[in-house]
Amino acid sequence: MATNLDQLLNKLTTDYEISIAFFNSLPESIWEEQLYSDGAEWTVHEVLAHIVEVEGSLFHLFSNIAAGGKGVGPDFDVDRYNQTEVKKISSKTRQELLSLFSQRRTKMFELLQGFTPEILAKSGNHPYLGESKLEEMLRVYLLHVNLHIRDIRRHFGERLKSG
Amino acid sequence: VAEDFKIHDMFVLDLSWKERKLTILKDYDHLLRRFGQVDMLRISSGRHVEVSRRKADELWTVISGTASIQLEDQRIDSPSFGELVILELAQESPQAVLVPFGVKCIVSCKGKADLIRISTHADDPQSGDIIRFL
Repeated sequence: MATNLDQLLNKLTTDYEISIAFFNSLPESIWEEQLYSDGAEWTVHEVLAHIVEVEGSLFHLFSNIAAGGKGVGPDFDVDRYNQTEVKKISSKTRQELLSLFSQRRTKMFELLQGFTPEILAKSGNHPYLGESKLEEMLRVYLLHVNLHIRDIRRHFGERLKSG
Repeated sequence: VAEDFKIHDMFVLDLSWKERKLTILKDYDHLLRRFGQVDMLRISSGRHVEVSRRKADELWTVISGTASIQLEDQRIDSPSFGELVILELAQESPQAVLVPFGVKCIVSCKGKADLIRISTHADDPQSGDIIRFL
């Protein structure tokens, strides 16, 4: 990874602030519109729910591996998990999701602050990457929210500017 | 701030040659969410490529020689709007650069370089994108 942990923590904070500003700026009309036509066919609200859900589940995964655990089980089905968990958490309102995102990002930040190079070198089973090092998992974690935000920006384009 | 974080949402991924194989992108890298087009480009001294996409994210890497990639954030609503980053990419220490849509990219080299460019959307003359080989 072309960075160190301090830079990553800084990026986590600034990216979080940018993400929150982005979601707060979205026009009301798009929140229930479908974003993806493949796979889970999520709406914008469900994408936010997914982001918040992942923030929580990755906290548990990283904690587990940092403590010497093996990560998720070998039969873990990430697509089924995403479908089920996003459906559950989507019942929360937008404001509840944004508030939960804030709480979870703070917890994640506190967890990662305690990570040493030795911890970052630990390996475990990641639902998407398979057997991999924590350092590699953090890189993908860092990209995840921005990937979905780019999809929203790409899909709705000019409608985001008109408000 | 590391060069790869100066422009919001761009990313530099370290790659490595294994034997004689360089893996540039895997589906779980979370860099490109869909596939549009892949190109190999050969650039020689004095020539350059200028790309500015309206909807497509791109991933660039050098597979032979050394190239300079200049990025400029042209997204008016971006926190790093106007920011300029210049990266040197070399075959010996391979890296892949994620160029999000709305970020202008100019690739040039002093000698000769071969590059791989992977995009989320195929080139489309009707799209309003700027793709110039100069």
